[in-house]
Amino acid sequence: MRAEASKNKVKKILVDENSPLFDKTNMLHKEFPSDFRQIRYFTLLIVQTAPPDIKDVNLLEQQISEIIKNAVKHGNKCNMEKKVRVWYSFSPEHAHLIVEDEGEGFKDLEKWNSFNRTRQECLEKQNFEALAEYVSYRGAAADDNDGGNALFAALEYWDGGFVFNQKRNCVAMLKKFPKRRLGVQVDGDNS
Amino acid sequence: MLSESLSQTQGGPSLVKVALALVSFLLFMSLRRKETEGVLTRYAVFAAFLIIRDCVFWLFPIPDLYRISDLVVFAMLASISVAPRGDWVLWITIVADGAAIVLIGFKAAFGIAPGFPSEILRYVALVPIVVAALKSSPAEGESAPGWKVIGRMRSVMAAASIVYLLAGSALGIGSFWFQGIVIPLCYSCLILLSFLYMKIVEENLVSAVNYYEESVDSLYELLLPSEEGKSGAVAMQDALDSMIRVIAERTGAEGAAILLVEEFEEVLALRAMHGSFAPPFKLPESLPRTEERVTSFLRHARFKLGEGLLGLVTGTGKPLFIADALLDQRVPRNGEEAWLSFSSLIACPLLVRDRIIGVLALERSKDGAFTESDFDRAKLLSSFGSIAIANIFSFLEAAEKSDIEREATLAEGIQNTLLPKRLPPIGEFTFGAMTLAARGVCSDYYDIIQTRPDRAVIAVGDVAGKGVAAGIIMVMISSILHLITNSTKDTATLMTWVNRGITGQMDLDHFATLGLVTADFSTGLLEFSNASHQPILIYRRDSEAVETVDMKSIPIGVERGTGYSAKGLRLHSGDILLMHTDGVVEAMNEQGKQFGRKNLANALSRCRDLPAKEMAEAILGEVQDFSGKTRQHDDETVLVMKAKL
Repeated sequence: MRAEASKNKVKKILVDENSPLFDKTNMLHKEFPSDFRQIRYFTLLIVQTAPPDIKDVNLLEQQISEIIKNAVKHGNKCNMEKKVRVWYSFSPEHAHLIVEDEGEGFKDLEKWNSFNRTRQECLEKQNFEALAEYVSYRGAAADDNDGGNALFAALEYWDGGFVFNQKRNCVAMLKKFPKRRLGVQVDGDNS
Repeated sequence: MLSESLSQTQGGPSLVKVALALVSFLLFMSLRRKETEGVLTRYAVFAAFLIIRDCVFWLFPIPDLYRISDLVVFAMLASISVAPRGDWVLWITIVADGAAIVLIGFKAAFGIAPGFPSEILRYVALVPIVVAALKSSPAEGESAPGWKVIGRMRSVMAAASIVYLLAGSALGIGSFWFQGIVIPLCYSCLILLSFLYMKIVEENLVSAVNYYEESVDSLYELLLPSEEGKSGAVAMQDALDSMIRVIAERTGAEGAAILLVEEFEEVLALRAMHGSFAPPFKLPESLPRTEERVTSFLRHARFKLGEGLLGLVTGTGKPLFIADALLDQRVPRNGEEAWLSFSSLIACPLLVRDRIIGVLALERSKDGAFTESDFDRAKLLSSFGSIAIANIFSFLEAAEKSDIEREATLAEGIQNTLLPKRLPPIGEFTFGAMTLAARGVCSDYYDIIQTRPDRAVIAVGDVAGKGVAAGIIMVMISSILHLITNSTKDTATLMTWVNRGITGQMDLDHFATLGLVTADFSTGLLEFSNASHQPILIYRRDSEAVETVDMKSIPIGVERGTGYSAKGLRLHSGDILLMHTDGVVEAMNEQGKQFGRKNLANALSRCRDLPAKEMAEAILGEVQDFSGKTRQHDDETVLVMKAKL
């Protein structure tokens, strides 16, 4: 009777250079230096173009901030000479973002996926003892400020896809905002 | 002997009989037009038969013929009160009366069984009347006036039949007393019946009027707005709560619930509950059967459309009425506890045109089953309730839109208040500035603050964020600037102070880029300090080239301790200084290309000979032409300072 959410397939980060999410046509564009201090500022510059109809704009802001943080910190290693390029487009129905850094690319992508899968399996089997090992993902370069949960949340949030390019230094993502509507059409022949 | 005496007494009484039968016939004929059950039509036929029978008897006063006709009359009477539903009663009537008619006929024609009096056979006519009276009346539970009148007249008709038969035997069929008094009295029962019918029709009308009055009352109460001044989700919840209370009271429901289809998902969720509502669906086995846990489960559960009893209603859009839950296999059994079960259920879809927005469920557990009239009332109230809910939805949506609009208007107001209305020339310099605000953004700022007759601070900034939040930061920057420019401090210090004033002051994102130019109009010397803002462009009259002056730095609001630097420049006669915001160079055209700095520099060169004010307009005009129909995403601002030639 209840709509079960947990039966969803385990989501994973994809690598697909040819994903339509990399199409930058008509997207706004900005580039920033890899200045960790300015991440909130950059995020605001991007989010301010989102239409006011988008309901939970704070969550959107938080998610965008995380992605830019990844690019600045893990991609460009906070090297101010290296740029973060962002393409973005918003409408009341979607948020589309492409973030590119000048780093080596996300090397641990497969490791992360397998970590995530195991974590999900533990959750489904309600194996909380084993789950304790999978609370957060810590890559080799992680420091104490990395929560290790940003990507899990990102994967949930960007429900239209979360895709890396072949080099894994550019990630494209899409969020779909459901349209608010009143009720549903009645099926069949009713008066 | 007998036939002679009969013919003598026939004239007057027959006339009275026939006249009475005729009057009742005419009454039945006039009333039958509005009656759908056909009862009065049968009575009209019956009255017509009486007229014919009496006329025939007038011409041929044969007692046996009269007896036979009596049998037919009683058969008709019995069939009217039981047919068309009367089944075996009709057969008994036909068989008994048929046999009696045959016997009387044979006796009269061939003189068979002469010792057997025909008068006794007349009493066979009582058989169907008695059987029909013993059998439950077809009129029971019927609200149609035709059937009601049969029900109410049954005893009168039965009594009249017995009196008729006995009086016929006692007084003699042909006697004046029988023909002139008893028969007309019995016939007047038919007239009484038609009057009673009219009375019942009126009673029904009155009760219908009462019903509709009460319905209108309940609709009024249902749609009556509760307290004013509520907004948003509170208003909706209030409306649903009062709606469910009114509907439950008006239908006598002990438990009631409204479930609505979620706004973003195709699932039903409980939105309002009244009284003790037993779940009309299967609860999970693992759920403890305590009222607290079950209520909490109900409040958080999501139901797929089309599943279970309530889903059935949402799936088909048709109302559901289960008078006796014990007899219905679809009703789930969730436990022994009394509060977990109901005895009667009504579930109505909440429909708005052809969209289903939810379902209303009403339950009774003790006070007997719901009736058809409760069901009718529930259907009526739920259909009006859905319209009310739909109206609130539209209202909330409109209110939300108007909130967005109001915020945009407020922000525009702040921006317009801060931007200088006029830019008068200072010394040999003229100014022009223009901002094209993107609706709802309003984050660009410019100002020219004259601190001495030959000195001014020119500021162009862009607050990150938008709307009123951006407006507040803009107010802060403007206030700080107006305060500190009155000092003799250099431009870099001014910028450092603005940054210190803004950073960490409020729990609000407060970043801005800012370009400050301090101008000494007596010498043409400029000092430029930049906080991550767009570079300044300078059109040089002698080289006819555009120079770009940029300084790497971070926006204000990032770090309190940031120290900013400044760069010295000089404007010669005919030179033009252009400051702008990112909205100008990042304006996109339909092909997705940005306007860019090169186009801006070209625009600057092209309109170099226009007055400063017109230059600003012309440059933004070019940006607009470039963008075409593309939506403007950000404010676009240009500020021009021209040194006279």
